[in-house]
Amino acid sequence: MRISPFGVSTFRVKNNTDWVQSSLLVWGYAVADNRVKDQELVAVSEKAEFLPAKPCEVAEPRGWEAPPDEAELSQQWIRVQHRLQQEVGEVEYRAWLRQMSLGGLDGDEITVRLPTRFLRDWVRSQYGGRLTALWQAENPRIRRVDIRVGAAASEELALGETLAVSAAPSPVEAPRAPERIDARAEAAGLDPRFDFESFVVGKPNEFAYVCARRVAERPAAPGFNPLFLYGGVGLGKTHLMHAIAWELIRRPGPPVFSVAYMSAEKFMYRFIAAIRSQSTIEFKEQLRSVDVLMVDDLQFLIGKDNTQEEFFHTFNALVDAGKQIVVSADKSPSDLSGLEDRLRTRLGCGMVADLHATTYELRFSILQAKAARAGVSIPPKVMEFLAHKITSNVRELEGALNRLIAHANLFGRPITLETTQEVLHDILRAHDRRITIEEIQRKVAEHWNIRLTDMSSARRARAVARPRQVAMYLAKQLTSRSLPEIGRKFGNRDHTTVMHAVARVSELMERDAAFAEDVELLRRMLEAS
Amino acid sequence: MSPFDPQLALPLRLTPEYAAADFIPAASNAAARSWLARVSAWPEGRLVLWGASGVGKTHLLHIWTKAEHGVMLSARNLVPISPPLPGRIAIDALDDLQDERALLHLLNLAAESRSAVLLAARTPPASWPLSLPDLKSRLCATLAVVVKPPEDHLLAVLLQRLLAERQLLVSSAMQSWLLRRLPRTAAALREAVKRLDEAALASGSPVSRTLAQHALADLLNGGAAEEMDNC
Repeated sequence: MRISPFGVSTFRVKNNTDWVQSSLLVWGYAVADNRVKDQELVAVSEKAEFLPAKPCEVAEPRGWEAPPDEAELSQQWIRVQHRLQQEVGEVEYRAWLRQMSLGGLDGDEITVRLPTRFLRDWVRSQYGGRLTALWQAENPRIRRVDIRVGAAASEELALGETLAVSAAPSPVEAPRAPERIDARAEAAGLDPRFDFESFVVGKPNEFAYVCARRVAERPAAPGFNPLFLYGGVGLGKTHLMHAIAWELIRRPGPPVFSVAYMSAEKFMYRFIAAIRSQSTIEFKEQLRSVDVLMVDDLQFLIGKDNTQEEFFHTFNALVDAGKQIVVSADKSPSDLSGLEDRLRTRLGCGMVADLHATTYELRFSILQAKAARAGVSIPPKVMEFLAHKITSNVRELEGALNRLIAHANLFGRPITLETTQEVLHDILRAHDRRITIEEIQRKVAEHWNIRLTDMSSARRARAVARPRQVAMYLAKQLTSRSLPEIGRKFGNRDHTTVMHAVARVSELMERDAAFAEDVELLRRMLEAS
Repeated sequence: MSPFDPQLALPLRLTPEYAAADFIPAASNAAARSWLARVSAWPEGRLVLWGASGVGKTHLLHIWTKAEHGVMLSARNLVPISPPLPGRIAIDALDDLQDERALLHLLNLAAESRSAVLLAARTPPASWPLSLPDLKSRLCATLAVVVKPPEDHLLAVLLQRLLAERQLLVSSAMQSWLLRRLPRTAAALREAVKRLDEAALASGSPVSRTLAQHALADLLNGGAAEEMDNC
């Protein structure tokens, strides 16, 4: 494949009789070369670092005669770190101490290094005493610990460690375009998944589909040129355009059509770049040499008068030469105010096909088809739920399904109605509403059938005290209010009362499964409302 | 300057380092870390991280960008990028996005060149007030992962770290005193530490309950909680 300076790739295809030359405009700016490899981070188990030192035999400290050798010293160091970690807790250890590294032993002084001055000062002031004591206990030879600035722990390890958490043992890759795809198509920015086979047809998009099929079979046929596809976002305009291109490219036999596909935005960028580099003539020639020109999202040319003008001329030249044009936009030609009248007239003089908003039936079949393609079995209940809830457009519907599949793969959890609601809660709850303490009190009072006023009353009977504690617990879990404020909302109680309630409820939840279920149910109801 | 004048507290710009080793893993950020470590599992090569201010989104973006040899851009200054893209891209603070077309164009370019794009914002895409329907639908179709509000022990470490950043010595008893009374958000802690620092500097006295009660009156009484929630 040859890439000319102007970005036209020419490839030859051998057929039985002769070399037939075909070409495809490349608007992809040598993207193939620029692709970033999918490197996986080195997954290092978080726990690796915190494994307790192996209970191995370590010789008794040898008193004063011989200095302990390095291996022994590093074993002692592991134990010191481990003890320190046990004393201060994992979180604190990670925050301040994990970057410590062992220097050397000099007389009775051991050196511990930290990567920055700040960390050194902090560790010296906060943990210096403990470090000295632990070292002294470990090795009687050591009297002092010198904490210094020095080489940091390996950065690479830290990266992997920080990002890696326990994922499912062997997650299956999310449904994505295969890596090895047709170079021609990739260069032209065509998505290999967007072909006619993967387009799910229903009443709302049937007419557009049939028109697109027709154009792919017989480009530039009278009555179908130009083909103007319009409809709201995410309903399949781009899919149909890519499908036409694929059909023409993959057509068996000698390739006869050169196809150029680009978004209006890209048309504009290319045009501006051509003006800058004073190569507009080449630009025009290249565009006018194709058999099928497809421009997606034409509405983006509104307000760009020069680009519109250029497009108008290209359009006329191609139609006059008997070439096919396919254009998409969010509105019909007559509704595209902001485009020049003469362009609008010409755009509407071929076939105009619209894609309507989806119906429930279409959404359901799209989900079925997508799931089957991905080879994932999804409970019908989940598909019904999605088809009911995500009505905006196909892109968002497919997006939701992709999210579910990716989530199930990464965490190795089956797809259920419950996980669906959890994974998609940000799109299912249209507005991000904050849960208030008052709401919590109301729901909890309703649940146990007590009066709302009992939430702030002084009554201490178990029948009201327990629900009140649960409401406090939920207020802590579901709001970011301070503890004194929560206390105030419960009849001016003290923040220690709130802390007691939280502890009590947590404890009860651990002991009593039925009670835990009740609280969990309340939490979900509050989060879902 | 008379000895009774308060010490003038000059704003000290603190530039966090965002090193991987400084990130504190916790349950609240576990999902985000899992996803960041597996770019190949992102549907369409896109991911949105969302969560309240101060929960560590920017930090995670820095770590990811470094690990993936990517480029980090700010949403506020985003301008139309001409191809080729510089590789994997992270865009922080989508809440401040000015140029929607620039983002749409970038997402399209990235999709074509199969470059991963990581976005971060305080709220999920479904609630962003976007005016471009094409952009809105793309973002609503994107995998969004929440970084949850910090749990108690994470707040405790965060407070320690914020205090340490300003070299502010505060006893651990005083720290728990603060933790038990402040709104439980990273943003509230940040604001509280900033004010404590300024108050301590201005009065030349160490951080005490009296000083805290004075400097943080509204935070401790829940008056500013509503405000802090929204930042």
